[in-house]
Amino acid sequence: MEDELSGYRGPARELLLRAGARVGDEVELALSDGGSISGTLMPRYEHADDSHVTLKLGNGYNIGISVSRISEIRISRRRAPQPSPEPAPARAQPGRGEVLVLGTGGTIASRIDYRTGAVTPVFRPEDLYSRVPGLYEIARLDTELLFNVLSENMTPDHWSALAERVGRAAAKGYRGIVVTHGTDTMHYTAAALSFALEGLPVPVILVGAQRSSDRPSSDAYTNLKGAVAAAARGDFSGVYVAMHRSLSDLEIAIHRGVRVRKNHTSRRDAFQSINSGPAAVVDLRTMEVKKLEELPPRSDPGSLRVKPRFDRRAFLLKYFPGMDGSIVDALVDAGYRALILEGTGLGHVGRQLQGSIARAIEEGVFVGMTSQCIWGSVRMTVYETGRDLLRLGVVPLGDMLSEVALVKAMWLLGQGAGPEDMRSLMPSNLRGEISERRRIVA
Amino acid sequence: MSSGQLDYASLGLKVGIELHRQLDVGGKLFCGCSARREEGPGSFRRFLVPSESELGDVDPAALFEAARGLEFEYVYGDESSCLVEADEEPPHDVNRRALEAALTVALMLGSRVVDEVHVMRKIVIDGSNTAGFQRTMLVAVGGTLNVGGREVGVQTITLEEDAARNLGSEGRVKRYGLDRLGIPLIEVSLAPIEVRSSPQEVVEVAAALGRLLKSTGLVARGIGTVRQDLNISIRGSGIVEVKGVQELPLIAKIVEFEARRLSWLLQVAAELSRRGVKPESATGEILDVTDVLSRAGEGIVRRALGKGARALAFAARGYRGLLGSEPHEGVRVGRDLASIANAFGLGGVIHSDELPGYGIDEGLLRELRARVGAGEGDAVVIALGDAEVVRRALEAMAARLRDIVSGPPAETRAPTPDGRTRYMRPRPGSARMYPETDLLPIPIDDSTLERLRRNLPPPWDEQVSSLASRYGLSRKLADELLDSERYGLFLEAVEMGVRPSVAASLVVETLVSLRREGLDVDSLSDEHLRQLFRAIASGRLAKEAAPDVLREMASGRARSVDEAAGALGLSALSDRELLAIVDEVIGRNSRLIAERGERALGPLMGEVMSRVRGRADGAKVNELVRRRLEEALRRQS
Ligand SMILES: [Zn+2]
Repeated sequence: MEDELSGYRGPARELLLRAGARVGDEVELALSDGGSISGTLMPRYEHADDSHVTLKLGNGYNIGISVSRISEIRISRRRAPQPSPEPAPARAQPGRGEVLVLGTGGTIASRIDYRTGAVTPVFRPEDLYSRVPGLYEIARLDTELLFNVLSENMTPDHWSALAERVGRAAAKGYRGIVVTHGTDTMHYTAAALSFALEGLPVPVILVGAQRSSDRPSSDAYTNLKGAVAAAARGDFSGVYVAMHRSLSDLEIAIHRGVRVRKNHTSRRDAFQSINSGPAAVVDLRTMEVKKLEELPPRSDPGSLRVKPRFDRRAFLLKYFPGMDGSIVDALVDAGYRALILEGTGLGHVGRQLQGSIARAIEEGVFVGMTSQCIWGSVRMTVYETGRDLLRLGVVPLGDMLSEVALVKAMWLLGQGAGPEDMRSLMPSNLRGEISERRRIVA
Repeated sequence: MSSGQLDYASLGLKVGIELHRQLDVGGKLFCGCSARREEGPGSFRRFLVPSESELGDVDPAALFEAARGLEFEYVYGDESSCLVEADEEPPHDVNRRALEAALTVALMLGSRVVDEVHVMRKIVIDGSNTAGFQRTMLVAVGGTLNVGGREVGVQTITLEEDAARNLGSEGRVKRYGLDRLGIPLIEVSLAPIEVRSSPQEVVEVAAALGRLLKSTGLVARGIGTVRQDLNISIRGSGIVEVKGVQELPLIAKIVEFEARRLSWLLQVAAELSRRGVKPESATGEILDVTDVLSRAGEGIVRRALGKGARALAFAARGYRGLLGSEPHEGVRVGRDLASIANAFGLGGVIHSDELPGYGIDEGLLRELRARVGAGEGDAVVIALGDAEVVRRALEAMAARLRDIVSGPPAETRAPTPDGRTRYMRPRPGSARMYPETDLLPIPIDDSTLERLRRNLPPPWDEQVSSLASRYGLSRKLADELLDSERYGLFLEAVEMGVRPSVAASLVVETLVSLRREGLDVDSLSDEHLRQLFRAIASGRLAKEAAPDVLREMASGRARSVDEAAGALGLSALSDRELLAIVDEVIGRNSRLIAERGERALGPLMGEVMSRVRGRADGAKVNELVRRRLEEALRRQS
């Protein structure tokens, strides 16, 4: 909705409405305690209070003036008519670029209007080339904004749509596909694509930014370059996440989509490969893509099979001391078909849950065990608790990350897997999500 | 123009002061880190990717550097930096004590405090801020500073983050220390004052503002905690911003230098206009002249070309004789061209006013003039190096020469230690600011202002009086002490047991007189002075030896007090050694004592002191000589 008084509520909005002022107007505010102050009327932050008016002064600073102090608002100059908003990003012109960049939300690149403080996302190839130095030299891009949702609002339906779109692009002969994504749930989406795209012939690289693209220090630009380089030049296929390897802008780590986890709220090296090192690394000085692990090679598009359906009736439950069985009962009653437990240590939950777990398994619900330790594998034969749970039919899921196990369960259910399929496929390694060996040096 | 006195009033000289001072309120502005200086040990590297609109009309050299992909290395220590300084975590809520310090200053200056403070991001692309911007907020506008009857207007009071400490650069890597990044800084911008008779007026205004800030007891003191930006203009000139002047006495020299430089540029502009030069056509096309100069004789030109450099040049219309003229020491158009060359990483620039020379003879110069189309009254500007770099540098120089045609250009300059200025970059465009979206606006409520107003610090004079009476100091000494950057050290010295008058005169008078001798007093660290005070307090060193010891250290000959004392042979005498000297002098002067009685004390003291100066405390010597003299007199009677 276009709002001429964006962000203003309550008394501030009423005052401005009465004066007929609009955001962008140059105004002079007469103050009740004498004097006046002039500036440009600015939009108000959504979460700021409703009793101040925001002005940008001639020196560039914004200040807030209390509504109670304003005796009159004089409009000295109307806001200049706004240039018509930038046209929506052009659809990709298939077959021309080498790498397809699919947008799902968040802002991978932006421009700032210092007059208004507005941050405008940019996404068209020509804008990206001019905004990201060195990008043009790596690969020709096609771009397409698939949807625009915050990462926390992603659902399995978005995974399905994304998998279908990526599948079509991979079949079309792109060298690689880059998916820009908010970081919060990027590792869930990476896992989802890993399962949904069987026999991927090319690399599919998810990329985001921990530090907003409206700051010159943003990791968005270097991450994007690394992702595009991996998509265009990596001699491997599969689904990966490209993010900073350290606090320095020197290397972009390429993590396997089923091995990666966001482990920090804000650092640019928040994403880490768990129970293995990164699959590859991009040197930002040379833009060379170096493999660090044995990875599936690029292959024929004919081998690709897209299986995009997910069934939401899977639940991830983190155990804590004292949790009782009623929550498990409630989940079973609500119709969930798979329950991924995030147990303690080697894969344990308190004895008080055993009754409810036994009942769930009897009713055909798959119950799998992962560990809340994040690093390491579950091993349920070591302690009596683990052995009891095994006897009840709880399936140990090795060193699979709990989030990956959840996504895998949704995907298997979506493929129509019954209780027996679940019991055999969940602990089997399909996309590299489970490994037999954990190195001494991670 | 002569080097004589300038008539400032008729020049229309105006100077505005922006004073930046660190606040000492515990912690940084947006995180809980220590504001203490700290080296290493960790480091990380970054690039900055400013959007092209951020560079827009900024400085071509900075644009060029950014395009080259400058790399920044940030060095951090564990106490002074956290993820906020690394720009790896959103800023915490603003440091309330810092905000209240700024509000206190605003109230003292009668400024109007804004109802709601908005934190802004000001784009800075030289790497001195990890984020690529500096956080800054406007706290108050208006107000008045009284300076000896003169009312100086206050424009704005802002609170902002200090930048990272520049640790130098190596090739394309610039190094910064994160310990200084984020320390709260208060900035007070004063309206320009008209200089009536002497640049000293500007120093007085800056000093008065400095005292007002110090009187809050909330500002940091010491080297690097304060800097002044000066906005200088004369009638007919643009406004020149001289950035980062650290010492007050330098201000007068810089203002005088700028007044001379600007009036020279006015004369240059008048002369160019007399010669019929127009701004847009003042410079010719930039051409490659490597083939001409490859025939240069032995010299830097030939050596550079021999190493593969290219030579490019352009004609500067009507500039003949005006690039090399130096009507006052350091005031020379060619000098600023050299600064531009340096900004682009070139060793320098050659212009025709210095030719023949550098292996370029008359004949070659004529060929050069013909090649770039330079007429009789024109100058030629030449630079050597990588063709692309040289082209960009010459473009920047040509732009500056075109600007000068219309009068002294607005620009940013840096102070030099000898009180001159050096060209830095063209006019600073309007600050590129946008809201810090990680923080909500901060309302300033009336009850906070009321509380601060009730607790304003006592006026300066009152503080001086109470300091004078508390420590038994003269008013003058107390005043200078309270104003001193090393006031904190005085308090430490007194704590150690040094007599207040001794500590005060060392901190104030001794250091000032050493500075007058031309010694680098700023090289004396607080730790040096602490060592000195400890040595005096423990009796290891006599206070009389302090100036010599400080001189030894300030000149770089000694690295510590012990080393200096050793080199000067100043290890303090033991009581026994001292007594032996006193007895020896008294024994030798028995006739004098017999003749003069008690009045022999003066000459005896003189003789003893001449032998033990610096190795024994004068008061102690006095007491000993007096006692031994009395005993001698008793024996004689
Ligand atoms: Zn910090």
